[in-house]
Amino acid sequence: MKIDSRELPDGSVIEAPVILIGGGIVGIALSCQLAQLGHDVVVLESGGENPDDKSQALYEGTGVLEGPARLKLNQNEYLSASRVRYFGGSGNRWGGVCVPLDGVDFATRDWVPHSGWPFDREHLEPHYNRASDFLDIPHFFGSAAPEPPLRINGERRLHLRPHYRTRYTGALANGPFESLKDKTLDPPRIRVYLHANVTHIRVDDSGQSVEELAVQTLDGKRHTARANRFVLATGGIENVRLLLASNDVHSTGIGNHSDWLGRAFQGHALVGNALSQYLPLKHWPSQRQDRFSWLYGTTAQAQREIGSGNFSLYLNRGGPSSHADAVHGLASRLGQAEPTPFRVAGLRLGIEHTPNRDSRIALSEDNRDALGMPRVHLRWKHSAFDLGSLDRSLKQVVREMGRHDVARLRWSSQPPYNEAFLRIGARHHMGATRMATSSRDGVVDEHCRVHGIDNLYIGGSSVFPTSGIANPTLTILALSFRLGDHLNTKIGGRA
Amino acid sequence: MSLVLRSRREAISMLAVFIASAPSARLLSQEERLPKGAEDLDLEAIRELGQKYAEESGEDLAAIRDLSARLERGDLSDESILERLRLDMRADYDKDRLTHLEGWFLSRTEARVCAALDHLAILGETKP
Repeated sequence: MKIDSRELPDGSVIEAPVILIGGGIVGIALSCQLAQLGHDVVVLESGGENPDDKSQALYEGTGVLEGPARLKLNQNEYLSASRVRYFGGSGNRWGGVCVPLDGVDFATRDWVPHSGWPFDREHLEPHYNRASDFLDIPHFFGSAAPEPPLRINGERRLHLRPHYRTRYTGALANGPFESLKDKTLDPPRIRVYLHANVTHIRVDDSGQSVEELAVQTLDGKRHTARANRFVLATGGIENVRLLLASNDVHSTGIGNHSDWLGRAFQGHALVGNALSQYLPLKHWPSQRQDRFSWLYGTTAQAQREIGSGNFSLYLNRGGPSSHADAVHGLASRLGQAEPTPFRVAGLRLGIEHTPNRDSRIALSEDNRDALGMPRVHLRWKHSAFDLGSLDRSLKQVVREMGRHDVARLRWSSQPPYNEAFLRIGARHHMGATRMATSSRDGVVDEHCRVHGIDNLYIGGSSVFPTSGIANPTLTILALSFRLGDHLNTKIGGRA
Repeated sequence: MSLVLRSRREAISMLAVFIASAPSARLLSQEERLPKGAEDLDLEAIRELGQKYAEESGEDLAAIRDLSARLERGDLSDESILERLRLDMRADYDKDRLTHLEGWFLSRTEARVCAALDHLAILGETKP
């Protein structure tokens, strides 16, 4: 059921056992899950059913991309351009790429500061499969797991990351994503309030429990929302904004007990886009030949050997390349590759944005939106470690491809690579309400509950302690299903 | 096979002098000097890469000269020659002996082969 909050009498009280703040992909999936388990759920969505400029303008803010030295690239447009504020959220623009995080992304890596999740990937794998079912794509884990089409060197250094595209992508003008949203409308247990902007989370005097939410509409109405449990799922940046702004009892914001709230923000930088090319020397196995799009990651062993974070190699169809015939011919002759027609692929390298406390989301108290909320200032900062990882990872790709007669790589610029190569490559916003078992090390616990608050949970990629270099949506959904299970046991629902 | 002289020629003239001093240096044509199996390579582009490598890696000229001598009138489809080069190339990738030529990351051995083929081609062009 959809309800327009602007049509409610001013001062209305919205009540439900569980309230989900945000009608994005988490709000949709989690509300459906809880409704199927027999729970009444309210979803509070800031926007309407369609894009509108006034709602979208609430996302405006300031931002800067920084390297470890002097790079400061203005990213003021990014805050609004990278997010979508109407029902469906940024899923309305999502490209639909589904990739699980690598196993190593969950591990504590002693060479990567602040790394390590409270659990390993094996724990999350069943939930990844549920996310796959939700998106109508094959399972990544279990007997139906896809066979890697190419093993460069077993699993020692580079490994292929299988990935799928779901048809439930909002990036295409199609019906499937709309039908996904419509799933929330059928069950009578779900009420979706549109134009319902949550502007404040009110905790009780003890500071240990959320009492209610302040809800405003852009036409000036003020409502209140009350529940036993609340899930904040407004996206990787907006989650932080609302927690920081709710500072009447906790003076530095809810969940900021250890000064991690807003810190360790991670995005995905891409380098070499359209500059680099990759020349496979061998026939690729038959599967997916026609699509010619692969994604590689690096193993824990390789990361340890070269002292780097994770990275991704994206291969796509490419055009003719300077000297490609010559390099292919010579390498085929010297190597043991079968003399086959070669294909040139475009290559992009994505590097892991490892957690650092200086990469952070803060509020601009003197810069407020139409609802009086302080706007966000995003400082997206990469460390010297990240830059070093780029250099070392690229060389490792060259080495492994060469050793195994797989390919030669063309990359226009001479190493070493400095911060000038950094570019924001995605609309992925992660890490700024990081998950940690101990309240000293993060904002939420292993169940995604805000440390110290007994009834406030966070959904979305802001809880990722580290973010690897995989598109985050599948992991967001896996965590969402896992959170749904947890809430169900807390509420006392059926199994 | 018709080859055009290139502006980078000056940079490797010293190498050409080395190679030219070898016995029968001025008696063989380009076709005779180049190893068998080279004819189906994109020699023009190989030579560009080779010239670039010789330009940038002056300290490697002796190795290029040795390789030129080994390849001269050899056979690039001969397994005994290929096996040595293959081992060297793999070792280069293992040991991070990489070079960056015209954007391509290549092993030092591949770059040397490019340079050696260029030098043999130069000598062939200078046949009286």
